[in-house]
Amino acid sequence: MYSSEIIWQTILSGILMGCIYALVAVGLCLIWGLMEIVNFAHGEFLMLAMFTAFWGFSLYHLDPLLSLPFCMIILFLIGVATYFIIIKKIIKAPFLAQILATFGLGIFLRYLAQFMWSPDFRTIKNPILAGNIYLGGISLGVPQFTASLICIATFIIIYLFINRTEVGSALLATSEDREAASLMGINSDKMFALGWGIGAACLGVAGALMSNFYYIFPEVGFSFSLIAYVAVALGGFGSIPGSFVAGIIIGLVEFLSGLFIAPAFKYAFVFLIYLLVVFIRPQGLWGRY
Amino acid sequence: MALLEVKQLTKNFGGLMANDHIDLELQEGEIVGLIGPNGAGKTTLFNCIAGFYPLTSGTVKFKREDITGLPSNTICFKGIARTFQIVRVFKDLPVLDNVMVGAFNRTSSAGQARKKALEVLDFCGLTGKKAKLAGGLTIADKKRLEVAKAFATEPKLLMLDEAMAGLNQTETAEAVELVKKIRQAGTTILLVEHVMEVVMPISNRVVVLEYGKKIAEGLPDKVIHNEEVIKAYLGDKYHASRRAH
Amino acid sequence: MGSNKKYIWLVLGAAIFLIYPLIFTLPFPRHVVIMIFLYATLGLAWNMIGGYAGQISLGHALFFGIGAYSSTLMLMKLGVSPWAGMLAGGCISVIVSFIIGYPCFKLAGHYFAIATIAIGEITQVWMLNWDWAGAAVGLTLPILPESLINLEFHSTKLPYYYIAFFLLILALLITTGIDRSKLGYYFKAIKGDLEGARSLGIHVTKYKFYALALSAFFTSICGSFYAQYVLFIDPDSVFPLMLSVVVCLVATLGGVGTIWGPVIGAFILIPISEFTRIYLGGGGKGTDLIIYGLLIIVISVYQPFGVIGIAKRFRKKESE
Repeated sequence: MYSSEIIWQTILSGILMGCIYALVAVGLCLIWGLMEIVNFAHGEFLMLAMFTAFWGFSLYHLDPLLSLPFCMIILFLIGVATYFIIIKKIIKAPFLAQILATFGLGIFLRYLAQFMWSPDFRTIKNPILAGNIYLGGISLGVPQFTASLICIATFIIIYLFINRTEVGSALLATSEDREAASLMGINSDKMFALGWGIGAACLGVAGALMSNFYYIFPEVGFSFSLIAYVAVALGGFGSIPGSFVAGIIIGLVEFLSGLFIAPAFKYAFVFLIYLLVVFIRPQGLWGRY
Repeated sequence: MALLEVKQLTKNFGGLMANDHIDLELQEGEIVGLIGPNGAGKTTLFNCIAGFYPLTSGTVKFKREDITGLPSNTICFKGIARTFQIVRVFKDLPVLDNVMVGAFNRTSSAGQARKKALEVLDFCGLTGKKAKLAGGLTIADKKRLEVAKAFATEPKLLMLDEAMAGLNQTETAEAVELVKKIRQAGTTILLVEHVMEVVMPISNRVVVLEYGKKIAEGLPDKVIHNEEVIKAYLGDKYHASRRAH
Repeated sequence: MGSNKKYIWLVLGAAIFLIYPLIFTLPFPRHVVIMIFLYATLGLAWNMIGGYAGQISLGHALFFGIGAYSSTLMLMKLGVSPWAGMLAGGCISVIVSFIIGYPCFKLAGHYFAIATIAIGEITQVWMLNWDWAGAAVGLTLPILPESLINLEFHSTKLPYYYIAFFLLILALLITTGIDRSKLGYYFKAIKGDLEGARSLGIHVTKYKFYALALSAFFTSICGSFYAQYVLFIDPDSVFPLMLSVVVCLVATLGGVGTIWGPVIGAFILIPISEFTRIYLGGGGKGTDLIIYGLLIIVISVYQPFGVIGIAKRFRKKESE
């Protein structure tokens, strides 16, 4: 059997990674809850964020920690651009179109990246955040630890923004009832664009943080997309805190099943969770389904 | 024998009593109007009878058979058809195809269904538009199509949910003619309507709902003079004017 | 188009494709058309559930893989002829479709699509680790003497061509039959308005099952054919998400919910894929996918009804 140290190690590693999944999920939840359109290119946005950090490092020697604000802004712009160029045109389109549009975008971005930057795995060597810290016999990576702290902080900022500011309330209103909101003078177009921007910006933060310790390659986004859907479904459609907690839970499940069952099956387990949630409790743990 | 027997039908939405122990009987060949202020529970009653909502308690019997709790498609097959307040036409299909879907309720042959559908279109005055996509129709024609496809299922009871809402004078008059024609063809009709000038003249009987309860029932003339009914519709205004005197 | 004119075009088309491999005798031109036929059939199969009944599945590779593995395993372990294996695989796929449909049909739209992706991915991972079925290494079909019974041909692609053509014709005939029948009308009603369909007497779940079962059966048959054609299968070639996406794209590009849509879609997409692989193949696999990605975006934004949608709009403008 495994020593309690290894188990705790796995649990904590799972939670740390889970915080990153959580932020990725929050981004997706924001978009999904706002306009009921699933962003199937979510993972590819994350991949772009990671590559932004990577090229910032390779070409301009900008450490990921410093390029984080840039990643955030660039992804914000990408999110807004995606809204105006693609999403706005499919709001009233048949279902199939809505699903395929972002799916197509994801495929396009993924293989364009592969074409331009090759499928090779890249890493950032010797970033500022490096090394390990030791908590009572358990070693945790500094990049992962810092990343999870920043993710939690970002989540809190977003939560406060949505619930305590006027713009945030406008966003909530638009997501609940677009027409009523526009009757009150809220420009739903701007709200949607903002939602996409913020959702993508979350990925900017997550991507910059992950580039410190994760492999960077064109296909990296795919698994994160799928984990994000599961997290949003598990947390409950429309619940941002729900998605965050769900992300952490998924991180835990992934790492624990990797330890106790087999690394090859860890994603299969995550998907199994999705199926269990939608079949048994469609509103998720906290949702307003 | 009563065609439809609703006994003590109750529908509770987690605390909101949308239908409160309603009793209702329909005789074959009648046109019965169901009226009441907004939120009285009229559409809920429709949904309960037609199998779209499960009942909280009570029974629904159709042709002496207990149909409580049956799914909506089975109830349609048994002979109760309904239209929706917000029309549910198949907007990407031509008008003829829309009605054929209804006609397939009684046949599995496409040829038969087409024949029946063409007859129904003729009956409802939509023959000229049979190749047009349902999504491109005017609101009056959409409502007509909504009735046509329900009628094509060969129901014994047709429940119309505000089939005249949003129509102008001419369109309303045409719709009323269609309803009369349908009854003449042997179908019993239960209709929800807000337009009093429509309901009163064509109904044999009127049933009034308020806050989920049945508050009056009878001949249109009698019901319209019923105090409870007047209070239900004019409510506070009536009270206020009473007090002022 | 008058029905006489239509028949002439159909017969002409059939004749052209029957003669094609006799003129183009090199393997590659024949291979391209075989792939076109295969994907057109797959597209028609997907169209049943995705186009007609409106339930968007992005996990159809599941049935393709089941077909491929069923017939191959039955051949390798039991010596059963691939034709029987094909039918058996089809039946297994239908059973699987019932098992999946039961919980999945309760899900709406996006959730259903993601669930199909999830099921596809779980299956792929499972197959990658199932040693009895070859795991990641895959299965290499035994080389048997060339014959129709064995469904293997080594000296020429010609018989594969005609079998694929036959499968396509079969799929077209069945789709046409369904399009004009109660089944077809009911599928379209379900896609159009679920509650409206119910109010007209349609047992929605039952018909969704029919659509999925039909779809699964034909997709499975294609999988078995593929196995016999390529003589090697592994989880990455028969279960991947991209396969599900391409099948969906084939039907959507041409015209979802129409009879000829998937055929048109296959005729556009497969040549793009095959030729980019040769001429732009260089930078690792996937250059054709950049084009696919763009195509998907353009189609969904500008013309979700595909090529046939464009043609219809054109015709409408002419008659106005």
